Amino acid sequence: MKTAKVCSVTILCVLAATPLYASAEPGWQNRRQNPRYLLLQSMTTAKRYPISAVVIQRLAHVNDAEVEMKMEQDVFGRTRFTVWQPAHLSGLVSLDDGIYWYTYMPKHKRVIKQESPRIAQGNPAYQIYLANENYTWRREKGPDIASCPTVVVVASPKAKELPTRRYYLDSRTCLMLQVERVSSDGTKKVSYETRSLAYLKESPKLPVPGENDPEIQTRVVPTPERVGSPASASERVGFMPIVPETLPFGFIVRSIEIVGPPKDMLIAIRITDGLVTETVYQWKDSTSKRRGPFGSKAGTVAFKGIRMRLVGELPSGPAERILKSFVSRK
Amino acid sequence: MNCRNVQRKLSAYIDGELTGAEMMAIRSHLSRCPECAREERSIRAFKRLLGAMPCVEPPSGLEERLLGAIRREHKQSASWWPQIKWASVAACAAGLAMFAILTFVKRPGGEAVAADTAEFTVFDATRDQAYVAGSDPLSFGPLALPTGDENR
Repeated sequence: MKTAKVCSVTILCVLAATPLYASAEPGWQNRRQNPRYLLLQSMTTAKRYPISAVVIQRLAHVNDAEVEMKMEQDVFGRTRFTVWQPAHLSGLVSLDDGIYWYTYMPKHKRVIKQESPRIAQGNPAYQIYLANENYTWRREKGPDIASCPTVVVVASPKAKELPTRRYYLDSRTCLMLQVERVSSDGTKKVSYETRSLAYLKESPKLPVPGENDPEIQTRVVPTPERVGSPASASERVGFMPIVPETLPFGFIVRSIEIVGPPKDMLIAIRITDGLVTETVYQWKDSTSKRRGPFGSKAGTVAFKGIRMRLVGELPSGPAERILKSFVSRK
Repeated sequence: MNCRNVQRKLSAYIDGELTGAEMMAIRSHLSRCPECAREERSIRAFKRLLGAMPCVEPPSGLEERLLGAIRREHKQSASWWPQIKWASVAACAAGLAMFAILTFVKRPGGEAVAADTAEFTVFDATRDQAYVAGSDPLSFGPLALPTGDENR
């Protein structure tokens, strides 16, 4: 009798819970399938998996130079890269522990220490929100990369001149495995790819390079200094930076920063559309007797005594249009 | 807004918990005041470090043991002396913790600002771009790697 009672109560409970489970399941699945959610995960939780990988990075700011590296990441999100190729960079170590960013250069027996760039990183959720204003999203099943099943988050720009961006994520962990840019004429550039990957059971130890070696010098490099407004920047650098009220392609000004050595300071205006960050450097034209901070005036424009240059990964057409918005300001 | 007010609200400022006007006022103050800007960077770095710490699973039975200890303590606390003893221990611990936190918080910002700028004579655009890449994992991929001959 007692057993029958227990059975009936159990059946009733199961029957009551089934619709709840059924109604909850699609919501959960939708979230997991939302490309923006996946991309957000890749920027947050995926940064805590202990991994060891071999990756290739093509550096947009150095003519797409290809660099092959061992990458290690621990549960605290600390990342360490050890360069294998090209030969002249072999042995270079970059460690970002979230507080400091260390770069060990074996040739010079020197460690460059700078505040971690992650401290300047914006809110990932806001970044995705901004990107959502400028891109449409699609989710595709991707090929296996480094033996991992992938999901591809495709971000197509609303401005057709900008490249489409394809992020290949490990479909189980959202770890970013490959990043591609596809320009409007169909040209594809792989800026980051993973050749092999191992998720580790134990978090790897990531020592600071050269920490206990007395022969290695450590040099501290100042961090770009954020300023609140063009006016406060002008007090420091001796000219009023040009900051347009609006920028094309949905870009916004992320920050105004002072960079460079104390005697030759520049203004760096970081602009972003959510997925791309570009920098417009500005300096006093009169100080460019020595061909300026970039060694050449090529690719620069001058306006009201200020010379400027846009640096980043945008194709030349959109880059020129953005730069024009700085000089056409009334 | 003076330095004292700003420093009192820095934590809330970093967490985005203030009103728009307060955020603007603090942002403007930070652009003018290197001392407060250093403090802001330190707190930001400290919060990031705390955020990176893993959640530790409490050992099984901890709750039971804690509750048992509290019950036993409650029964024994007929006199006022143990209460004072625990209060002083707690105060000492809090003081030590605060000292450790303040010492730690001072370090990162202080060192970063005290960079040997005298030696830093050349603007390195490559390093600056690597810095940008490191602050935006979606822009170039998840890596910041300088390749320039760092500040000869």
